[in-house]
Amino acid sequence: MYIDFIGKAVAELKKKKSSIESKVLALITRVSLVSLIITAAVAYFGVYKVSSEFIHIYRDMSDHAADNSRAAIEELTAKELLLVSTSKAEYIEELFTKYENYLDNTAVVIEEINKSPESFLPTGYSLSFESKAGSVPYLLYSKDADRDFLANDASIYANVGKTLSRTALSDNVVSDAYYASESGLFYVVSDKKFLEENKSFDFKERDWYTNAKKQGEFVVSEVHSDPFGREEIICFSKPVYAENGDFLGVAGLNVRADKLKKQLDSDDSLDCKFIIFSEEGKVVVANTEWTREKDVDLSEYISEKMDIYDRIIHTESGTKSLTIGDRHLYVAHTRLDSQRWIVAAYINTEQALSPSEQIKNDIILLSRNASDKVIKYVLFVTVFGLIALVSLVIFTYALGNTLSRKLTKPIIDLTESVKNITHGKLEFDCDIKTGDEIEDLADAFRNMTEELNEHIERIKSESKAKEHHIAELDIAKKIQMSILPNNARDFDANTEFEISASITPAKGVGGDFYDYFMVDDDHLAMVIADVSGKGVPAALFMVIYKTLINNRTKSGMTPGEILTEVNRQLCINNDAAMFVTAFFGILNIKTGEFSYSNAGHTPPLIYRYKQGFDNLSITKNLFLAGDEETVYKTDTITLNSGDMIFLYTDGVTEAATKDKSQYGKKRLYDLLNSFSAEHMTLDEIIASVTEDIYEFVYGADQTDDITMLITRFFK
Amino acid sequence: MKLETKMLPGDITVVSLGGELDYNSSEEARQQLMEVVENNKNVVIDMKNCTYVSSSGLRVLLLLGKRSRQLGENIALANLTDDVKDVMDMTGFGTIFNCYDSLDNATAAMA
Repeated sequence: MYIDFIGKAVAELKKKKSSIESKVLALITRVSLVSLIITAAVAYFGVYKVSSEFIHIYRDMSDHAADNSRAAIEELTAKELLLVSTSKAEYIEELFTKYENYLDNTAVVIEEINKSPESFLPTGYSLSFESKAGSVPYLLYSKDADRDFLANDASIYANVGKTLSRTALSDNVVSDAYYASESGLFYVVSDKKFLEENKSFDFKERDWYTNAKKQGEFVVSEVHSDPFGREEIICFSKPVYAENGDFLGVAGLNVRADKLKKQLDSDDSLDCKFIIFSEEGKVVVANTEWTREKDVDLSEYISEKMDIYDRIIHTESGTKSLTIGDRHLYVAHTRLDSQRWIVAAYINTEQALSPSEQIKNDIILLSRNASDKVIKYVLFVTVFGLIALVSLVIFTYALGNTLSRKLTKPIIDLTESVKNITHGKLEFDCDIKTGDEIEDLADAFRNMTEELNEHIERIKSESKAKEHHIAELDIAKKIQMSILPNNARDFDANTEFEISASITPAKGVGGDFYDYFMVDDDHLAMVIADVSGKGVPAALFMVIYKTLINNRTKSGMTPGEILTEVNRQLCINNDAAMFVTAFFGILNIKTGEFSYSNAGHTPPLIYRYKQGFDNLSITKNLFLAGDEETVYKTDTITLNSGDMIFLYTDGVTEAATKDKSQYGKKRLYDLLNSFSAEHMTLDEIIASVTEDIYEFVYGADQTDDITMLITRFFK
Repeated sequence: MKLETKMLPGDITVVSLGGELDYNSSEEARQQLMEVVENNKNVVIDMKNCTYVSSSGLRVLLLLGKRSRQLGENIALANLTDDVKDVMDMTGFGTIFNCYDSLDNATAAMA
């Protein structure tokens, strides 16, 4: 499910690769992801560090505890072992004392009997085995004994039987108690059955007898099989002397080795082994596998025992650590006060230290449990942290998604609306109320759209107007040009005068007009005018004016009369307040009389042959179509042959440079007088003026029509 | 073209024309000046800073003069520059308009 979710999210992100939404989303997601990972890493590292530290401390603690406990246990073991060996030694010492007392008791009885045999009654003895419980001793003779001679003594000394019986039955360790006399009697009380065959017992050759007799004191034998081969025994014996010091015999008792072992093998605080060595280093008893009863190969054990003996024999009582073969042992030994035996107690190091190992193991186990718990906790924290991390990432993604969507929704709306604009739909119907820059932007777009609309409307209407205007000017120009005379050639053959005209229309602006025609055979009419209006109305006004001039000009009328008439006609219905400045002249081509009327027009120039150009004096009249009551006056002069009249419009003198300085009347005057006009054709004169104007304006746009009309009179 | 209007005592409105009154500026000048003429009894057009009047400009003045006459008002020109005065003389505009050398003379004549 998560995979699916993430997959979708990634796909969505890819789709919106370049959108602000995805960028904002990516930003939010990345920032939160990074901070989450860092937090998680720090937290995890912290927990991990604590847990590892914890485990480490536990290990140290367990090692330390184990070492401490080992040392304590070593010490304890040493003490315990020594205690064991010492207590056993004391016990044996007591046994020795007790047995010596038993033997002394026997000796006392024997001494008494020897001192005064008469005070003892003969008592019974047995020559065959009887119950051990009986107080009647069993009597054996030595080989060299004279039985008959000893018969009386045998029954008297049999009184020792009670004492022997007491000794033999004193405990189950003692198996036999006996007395052997030098004279050859051997009384014995035993809990065992003697063999009948051995009625003749060569006791005087036995070690317990010879050693006691020889040493004259209490002796203890090595462990050996009893002469009857029944069991392992230890003989305790002590010589008996008469009052006068004569050697009488030896009192003795046998101790069963296995019973002794059993006695010694009491409950010890330690589960240890012990070995009791004799004076000569032979094993008396041991509760080990080395006991002779066991049917095992003893050679190895014997050598190990001897090793132990060798290692302890010359040392003070105490505990030491020994390595015997491949075994590590703690060995404690105690020498008996009587110096006869040495008690050694030992235990395997391994076994002794097992409690400390146990403690160590327990602690290790405990620490392992604890560290396991810590690790489990760390794992739990990790898993929980991961789940929390994933949840947070998802939550952040969702939140970021919502936020960025909320953030970018207005932008998307705005973009859609703006797209509509770019698609040519000049409407901005996007109502964004976010209260931030986006709203400002939307407002700006709305204003822009409205202004665009207004602008487009204006451009549309303006361009329409312009088209209209251009078309109108075009028409006006056509009208203007169509009414100009084109019959100049017709006058070429005429010898009385010549005439030439030029018009250079300004771009889109016009209003100049000229005309010339014959009124009758003798009279040439010429007119130059400048209509104040522009476009078709002005052109039509021009047409009306031309028509009126042509119609009103009759033979015999002065120019003033004609203009007065024309003016009256033009004033009718002239609501547009268009007006015309005009110069109208009539030349008598026979006489040279030139009459003219100037209606507010730029005064023409007159050329007197070989005298140059000068202003033609005029009477000022109001322009045409201004006031219908105006009466136009006429001036008259006479032209001589070669004289010229130069008519022009203000387009000539008011031709301007880019910085508005005007061509001017003076420059025109100076130009025309700078050459000999009598040698020039009319066209040449016009051309030179035109050229000079172009030179003057130096590329500036022409703002008005430039019109010139020139007439030369010949007589 | 610049156009400024100020009122003087005696109900005289003075309109100052600046720059060139030619074809390009004539329509705007016509509208504004006509509005002044429509709403004021005595109008003096101060031409002190008007350097050039074309035939289109003359037509505007002609319209103003005609309208003024229709309404029975007074209109006068003052402070004409030499160039403009020449044009006015030549075309005969001086016969339609009262032209004065100074604003004081113009207002004095109106009062």
